[in-house]
Amino acid sequence: MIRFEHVTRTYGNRVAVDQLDLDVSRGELLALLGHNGAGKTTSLKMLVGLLQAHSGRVLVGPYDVAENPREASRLVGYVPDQPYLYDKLSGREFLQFVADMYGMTSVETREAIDRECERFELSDFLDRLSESYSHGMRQRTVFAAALIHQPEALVVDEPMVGLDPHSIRLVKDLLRNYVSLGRTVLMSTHTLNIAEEIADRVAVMKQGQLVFDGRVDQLRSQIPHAGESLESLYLALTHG
Amino acid sequence: MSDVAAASLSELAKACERLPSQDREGQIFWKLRLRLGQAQLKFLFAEARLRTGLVVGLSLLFWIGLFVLFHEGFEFVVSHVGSPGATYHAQTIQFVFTLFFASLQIMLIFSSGIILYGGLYASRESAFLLTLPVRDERLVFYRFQEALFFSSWDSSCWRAP
Repeated sequence: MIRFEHVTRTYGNRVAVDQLDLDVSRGELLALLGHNGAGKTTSLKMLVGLLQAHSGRVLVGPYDVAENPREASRLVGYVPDQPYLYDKLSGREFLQFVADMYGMTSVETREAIDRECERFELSDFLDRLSESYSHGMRQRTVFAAALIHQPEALVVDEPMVGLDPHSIRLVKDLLRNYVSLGRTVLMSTHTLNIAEEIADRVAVMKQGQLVFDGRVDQLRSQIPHAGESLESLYLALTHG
Repeated sequence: MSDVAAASLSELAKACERLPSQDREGQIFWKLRLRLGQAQLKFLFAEARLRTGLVVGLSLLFWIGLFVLFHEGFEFVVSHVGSPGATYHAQTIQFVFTLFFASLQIMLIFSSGIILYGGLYASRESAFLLTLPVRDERLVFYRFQEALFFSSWDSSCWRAP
């Protein structure tokens, strides 16, 4: 569903992503891990059309993100690390705008908003201006916006940052339910225990390169001396 | 290609066909702008009456000051160059107007360019809109309209008196 084929992206002389080859299949949740500056966010931004790869290509389904950006966008829902909302719109108006951009009819929009409102427990604040929202409310609204068109792939960048335990649980359950429906989730995170709990596979980036791609038990066999937890395995992999 | 893969591709293609047309995209952005504008006005009149009153009042004062200045300027031309119909009156006025409006046009171009650059490259809203299936030209046009509006309101203040 999501494929990076020999993707490279540089910022001046610095190589942010170096020949990345990564596949995420339908019905799979992949956790993308790595230190700050490893290339995770750059990779996600190339996937959602915010950056262009300098070489290689990024595919969503059959669509090349660079050649068919609108079609690729239609298949993806993106939740950035810093959620953006229009301060002077209510959550409902924001969701209506996003639904309009995906070509949904007014009936579909209404049903979708009701669905996401229930899923993310937005009803208490959905009709207030978003400038009054807390970080958790903003994050949940942006999640709802990312799912309003029921995308084939959900791309989330650091989804747990700033969330309370209830919201974290909500997001974890959502991500697992989403892949159980045959959809795809690509999640970048620093929260290793959550990645270990919900991811089918993990991919570790270091200095722009992919240093591991597989299941956690495979990583354990690869570095048997490092310990059991993903945290100790990750640290052994990236510092070793 | 397997039947399952072909069916999936066909579903994906159907989902992409429903994306808004050029015209519809334009309508959506105007609707967004209208909503934002209404909410901003509502906020200004409900929560920031003093600030709004001050801005409107001072703008009016500025407008009147400019009117008086231009009036005095035209009086100067009539008294020292010639009244309408005199030899150099029309040429002087034409020169002054040309210079004045050319300066305003240059200011408009520069300020639109600066605002457009900031709106496209340093804007979180643009980054958000790029993740939606918005046509690139629509985004540039949306930002250009905004830049033109913000840079021309002050030159309208200059032109009106």
